[in-house]
Amino acid sequence: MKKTQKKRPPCIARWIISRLSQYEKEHALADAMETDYLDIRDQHGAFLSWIWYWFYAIGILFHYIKFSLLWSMIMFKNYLKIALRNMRKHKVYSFINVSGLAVSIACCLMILMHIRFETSYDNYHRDADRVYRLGIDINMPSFKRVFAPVSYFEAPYLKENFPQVEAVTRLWDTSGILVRRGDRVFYENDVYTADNDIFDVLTFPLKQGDPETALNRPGTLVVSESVGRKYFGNESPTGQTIQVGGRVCVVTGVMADPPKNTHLKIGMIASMIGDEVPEWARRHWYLNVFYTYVKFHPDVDVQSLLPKIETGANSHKDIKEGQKFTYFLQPLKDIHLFSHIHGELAPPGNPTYLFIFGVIAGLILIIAGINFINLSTARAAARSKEVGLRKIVGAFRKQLIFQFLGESILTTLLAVFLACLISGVFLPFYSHLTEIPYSLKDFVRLDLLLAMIGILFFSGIIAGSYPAFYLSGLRPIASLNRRQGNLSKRNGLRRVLVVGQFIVSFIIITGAIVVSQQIRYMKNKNLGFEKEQKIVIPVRQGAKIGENFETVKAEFLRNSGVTGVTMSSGVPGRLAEGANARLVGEADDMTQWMYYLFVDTDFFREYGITLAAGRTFQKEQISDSRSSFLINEAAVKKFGWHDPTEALRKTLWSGYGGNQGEIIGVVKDFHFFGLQREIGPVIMSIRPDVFRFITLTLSTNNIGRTLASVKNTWESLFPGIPIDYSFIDTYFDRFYREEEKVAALVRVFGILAIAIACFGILGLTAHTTQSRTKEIGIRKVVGASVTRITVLLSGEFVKWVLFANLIALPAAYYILNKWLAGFAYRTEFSLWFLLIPSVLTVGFAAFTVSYHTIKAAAANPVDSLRYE
Amino acid sequence: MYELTKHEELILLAILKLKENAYIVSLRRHIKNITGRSINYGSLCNTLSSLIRKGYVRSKESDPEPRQGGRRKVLYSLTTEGRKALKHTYKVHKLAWDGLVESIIKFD
Repeated sequence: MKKTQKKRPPCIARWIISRLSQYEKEHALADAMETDYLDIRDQHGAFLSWIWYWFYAIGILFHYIKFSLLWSMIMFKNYLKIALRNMRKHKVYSFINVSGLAVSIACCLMILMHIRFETSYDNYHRDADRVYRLGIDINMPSFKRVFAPVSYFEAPYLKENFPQVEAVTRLWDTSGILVRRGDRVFYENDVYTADNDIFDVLTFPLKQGDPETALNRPGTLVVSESVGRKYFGNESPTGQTIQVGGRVCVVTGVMADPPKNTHLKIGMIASMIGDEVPEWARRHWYLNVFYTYVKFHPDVDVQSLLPKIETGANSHKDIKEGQKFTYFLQPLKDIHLFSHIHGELAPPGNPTYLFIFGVIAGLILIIAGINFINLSTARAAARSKEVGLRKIVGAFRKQLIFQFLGESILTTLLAVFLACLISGVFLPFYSHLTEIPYSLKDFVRLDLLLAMIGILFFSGIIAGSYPAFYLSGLRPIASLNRRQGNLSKRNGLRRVLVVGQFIVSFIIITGAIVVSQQIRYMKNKNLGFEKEQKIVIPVRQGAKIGENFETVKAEFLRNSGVTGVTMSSGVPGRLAEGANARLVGEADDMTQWMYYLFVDTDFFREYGITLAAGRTFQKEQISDSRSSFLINEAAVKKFGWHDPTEALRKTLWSGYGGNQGEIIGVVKDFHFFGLQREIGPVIMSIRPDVFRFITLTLSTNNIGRTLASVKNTWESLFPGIPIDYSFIDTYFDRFYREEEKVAALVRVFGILAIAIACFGILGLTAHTTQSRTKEIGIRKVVGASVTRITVLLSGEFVKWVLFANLIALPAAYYILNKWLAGFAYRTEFSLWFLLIPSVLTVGFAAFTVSYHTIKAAAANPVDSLRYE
Repeated sequence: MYELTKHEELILLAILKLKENAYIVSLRRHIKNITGRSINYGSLCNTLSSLIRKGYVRSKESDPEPRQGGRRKVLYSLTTEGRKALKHTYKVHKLAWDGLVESIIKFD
């Protein structure tokens, strides 16, 4: 065996002979030469035979280069020349093709970037596939909720009892805490308290400090680079002390700023060891405020482990009949997009919107692709002569296919380059729109490049396929024939494609209108309270109001610009958590879950919330401050009453303080969250010790001065604590930010879609009017008026667009009704939403078509008939 | 029209001579043996291809050698057209040479 192997000819040479020789196929040259090679070897030795064999191989190689490559280069040069000449000759077509494609590819690129960003959340964590967040689904008769955090005890329990767990950490969110170092005092967001194991579970690389020990001692703190800079400037934070919420902590580590695509935007981590977590939070298994991240060992079947975890953890609870506590594990990477549960640490992403954007991007690309196909088929007729001639001088069909496909790929290539330029220029604008800070660096990624190449070849081949495969198959006699009528009449496909384009444009435009209308509706709807001219000042750590709230109020009222002051535990947009409540005398399982709002006596007057029945709290009534409740209409419904008056004088037990009291009145419903959510039941009573917000009503004149004096008052009341205020209307508008982003994007896409579609029919009309020049001339000679001819020529296109509208109407209605159904309060779907896009699409189409038709109709028939 | 070049003629005759074993290796060797000059594979293949195109020769792929990775072999045989062409060439030769053979040999 070895011997025969040794005897084989040099393999590279053999490869050259067998691949590049033109005789290989017909005469089995390589095999024959191998036989010869072996004979020569036997006679003259290995070296000579080797030389002989290579001599042949190199000869064949040169031959190949000279004849095949050289000729294909020459042909390629010719194709390129013809392609460029064609582009230059038909500037309108080329412009429409390239620019339309470029814009749509740029759209696609940007949307792809968006999708990639959204789906890349928390990918960067080491072993992210093995990290899960433990959550709990609580299902009790009176209370149902799915929590992202769990209690203090699950983490240590998992660590002790499950060898499959590699590491586990708890995070306690203490955002909004007052952080002080010298004169730098801020309410700091993104502050967490965590176990030291956080560095084993999640990836927060430390620039300074040791991840093994950084949070091992009580009172230790790790800060991110940017937060460190904020408090320590250019000094190194390590070893310095800083006051966090009244405790003095030592900075033991500095971590790199977490990337943008994470739901854990951590600025500071304090050690959980010691008494950092207050005693009330560590008391029982029912308080769910600890975000628990678990990293399992590789190859652990996590879902099968879950029942064991659940039974173990639930054995520590006192579970009554009808109560159910279900644990679940969420993969770390899915949290951003697929988890919408209570207590999310960052606003979650919306996979539906991502899907919609992806579809829109695809549709816009299809619209531009349709233009491309339409125009190249329309022009194919004009090129049939070229095809015929090429065939006669000996072109193979393969070569023609290559030529036409290559030409359309060349056009797409130009478009792709242009698209890169466009998206580069519009990137800052797009970042602003989506609120995701993109940089040019995000562009140069393998997947985007692959996507671009995919788009390039896909659209290039699709658009070029008609002329490539159809024309190249024509008999040269037929294509050289003077009559080309049979070719230009094949426009059934074109008609379908134009209709498709306008269906898509119609739906996108309707979408833009409906989304904008819904946002306008949400912003303008009467929320049930006055939101103008109000600022809200949250009262947090260090600043205490408590029982002396009346004096605080009086202080603020001394400012001339302040017309009213009220205090409460929550304000619209920021309503505190709820608790149970039930009617006294009813069974335990009639308990209802309600929002709680503790207010002072001025709250309803200041906010303009009106009564549906009974009375509001009054200063004079001492009983009001203890044992009186107000409820809203939603609560009335929740208790099962039909009329607000039924609620009056009922006695209520409140789970918040465990006290009882009488319902003295019912207020009309007011929105305390965005209009996506239904108004929930609220119980209101007076309780100064939980007041968290001061609401000031300002007079309209000279707000700047009023704000300055309010600041002064705050500083004299709470020295050393920064003021943090916001206008309630702007705060409320933040609920609609997601929808506004969508609206802005859809609006841009809608404009682009219709622009590209109109571009397409512009090109098509140019073609049809051109091919009907003589017909128009004859019509004019026999007496047709300009108007008649214009109508005749435009009518066809407008008819198609109208037909497209007819199809798009029900589709748009269905899709957008579905979208609107996601809002608890929504604008009526009016006929206008469908009428406006109809008028727009038909109008734009008629307008673009008329440009060429009027020109053609007004032309002098002498010019068009001259050559006949 | 059965005009053949010298080269073609040689090859056709060689195919005829080698009968069942006419493939490029044996053809080349045979021609070398009778002319004393080796022709290269390129021109051999080229001529063979044109003969096949003209319909004088037909090619047939033999079964590969009965071992693993056995080589391919393309065998050639004359068509009736090919035979006619040879016959025609021979006739032309004979007429052209008629009475001249002796005079040439004399010169030696």
